[in-house]
Amino acid sequence: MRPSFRVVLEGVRIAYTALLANKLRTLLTLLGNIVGIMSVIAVVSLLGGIDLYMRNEVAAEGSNLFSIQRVNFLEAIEDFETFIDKVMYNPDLTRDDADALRESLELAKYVSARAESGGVNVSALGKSVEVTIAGCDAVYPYISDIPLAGGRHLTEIDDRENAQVALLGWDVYAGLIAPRDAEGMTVRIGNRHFRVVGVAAQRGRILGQSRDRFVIVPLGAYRKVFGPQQTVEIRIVADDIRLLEDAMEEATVAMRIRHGLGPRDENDFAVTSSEQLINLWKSISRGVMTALVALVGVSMLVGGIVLMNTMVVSVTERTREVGLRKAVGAPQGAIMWQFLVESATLSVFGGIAGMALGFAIAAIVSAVSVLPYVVNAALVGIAFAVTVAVGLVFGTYPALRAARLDPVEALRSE
Amino acid sequence: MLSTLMLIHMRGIAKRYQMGSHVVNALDGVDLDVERNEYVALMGPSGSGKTTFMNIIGCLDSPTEGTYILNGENVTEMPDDTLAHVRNKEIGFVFQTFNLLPRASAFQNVELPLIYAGLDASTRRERANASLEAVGLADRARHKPNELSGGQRQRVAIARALVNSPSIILADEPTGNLDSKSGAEIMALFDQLHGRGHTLIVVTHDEAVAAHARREIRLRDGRVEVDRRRTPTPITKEV
Repeated sequence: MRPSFRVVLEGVRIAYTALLANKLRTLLTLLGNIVGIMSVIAVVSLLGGIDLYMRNEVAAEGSNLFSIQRVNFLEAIEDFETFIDKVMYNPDLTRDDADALRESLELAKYVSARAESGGVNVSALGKSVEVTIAGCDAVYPYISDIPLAGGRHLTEIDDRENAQVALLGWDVYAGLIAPRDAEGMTVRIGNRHFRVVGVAAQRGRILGQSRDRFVIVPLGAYRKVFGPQQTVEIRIVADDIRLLEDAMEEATVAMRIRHGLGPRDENDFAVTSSEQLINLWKSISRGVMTALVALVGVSMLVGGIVLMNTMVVSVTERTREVGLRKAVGAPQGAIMWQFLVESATLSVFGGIAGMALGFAIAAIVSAVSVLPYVVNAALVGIAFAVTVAVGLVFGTYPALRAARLDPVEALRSE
Repeated sequence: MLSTLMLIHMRGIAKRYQMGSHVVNALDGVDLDVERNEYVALMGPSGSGKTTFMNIIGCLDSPTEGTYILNGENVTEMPDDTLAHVRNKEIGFVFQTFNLLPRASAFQNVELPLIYAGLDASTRRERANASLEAVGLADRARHKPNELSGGQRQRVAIARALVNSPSIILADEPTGNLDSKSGAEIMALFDQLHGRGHTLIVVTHDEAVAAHARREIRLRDGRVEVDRRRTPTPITKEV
């Protein structure tokens, strides 16, 4: 007898009744499934959220952007000793490097020098906020997308004259000056006063971090506050996204020449792109996924064995029922399917509970932390399929045992 | 051929069990012919082989030796699933302990053989209801076994035995778990079924139950000791 809809439905009904009849046993039976599916759903939802964030971030930055930095902090993860060497011995990058690259690079559209310090106090009107100060040349508006709420960006003239002017991030304006007009106001950074020329529009928070707590000042003015020994980061926008690799190669060669490196010398600077960040993230998330698959595999295996045990008990308890069903004409296949459907249903109940818990955990983690999460529909399908498979695989032995019972013996059992 | 006219035609049926080093002959060469619409009481002391014989008649078990032709079909050496099909079609079982599915309603219990017969839902509903009606329980269709009295449970079991219009109704101590009043009702129902043309084989050690039958077969030590026709002597009242 093939598993007609009726047989499947009957199995689901029996499983449901059994589930309610012995709640504790059901819970213990399904613990493996619940924990397995719960962890995979929670972790993958959060990973998916971070993934989405990364993509959005790269899209906002523009993916034809790359940087030349003194050291690549991502390298610290791969080889810490080499990284420390580089931190100690790599020469500073200067504004002159940026200017030279702007002159010589053919595949670059924009070249911008930038220095940055975090956790700096900015004050005005007796109030004070802690922000990130960036010293930029006049090219930055072409590289970073910073729409204005009012006023203007820093200009070529500001840059050339090392004018003490500032563009405020929205939070800085809101914290220090609002509701007054920013026009004609000054803010104090260190012991210097900067005239506010513009306020950036609100950009909101990402991963819990405000993207509005910044002040941009001309690079020269920045140096007056923080000293001239600061290295800069050189940000370069390639002319054509398809030539990003070539543009990075061109910039690398140009920097090697400027630093007088021989053919055998390693780069004493780092060329990084958001692509690398993405790749790093991908390898991290792949690692997490691999570990997760192993963890879930073990948990589903344990869950499957417990499920098998429970089904064996269930078959034993219902030996007489099996005998009766055989007496009234059930072939082996029908008995087999009855118990297979039952164990698959039980398993799926565990999977559903695990999914609910997993999404709940992801939502809670997301609510109390800065991590976003996404609901992955394919994942729900996979979790469903996996639990059905576990139910069928581990239900086979008990189902076969039931199907092969001798009707005379079975009817005689108590 | 005579055998094809018979509902049950058995020749030289033997069943042997290996018990350690020696062989036990539960049945030792039994012949049996049963015609349509007979009402047989199968009796015998415990150890006489009557349970084994009943299991073989009901196609739950196969004989070690001999030939069994049931309703024209040789069922002696059929594989399990084919025997299941034969049981579904030819045999209606009534057990001492009713053997109803506890979580299923009376209707669902009666419907069970029809599911394994592969019938569609509307046919099943029609036949199961007709069968419940035949045992006077049409109004109890939705009740679970634990909501029914012992006599009612056995009537549900009889409705289940009847539902596939089997050739034989095979009852094993059908009144064994019932009080005498309910037992009398069940025997009266059996009399009615016989009157409507059903073939009944009742395994019992109760003379009062056997008294309803038109033929008495007594087994002893795996052989037929007595096989005689008789006029029924109803001890119980009709209901």
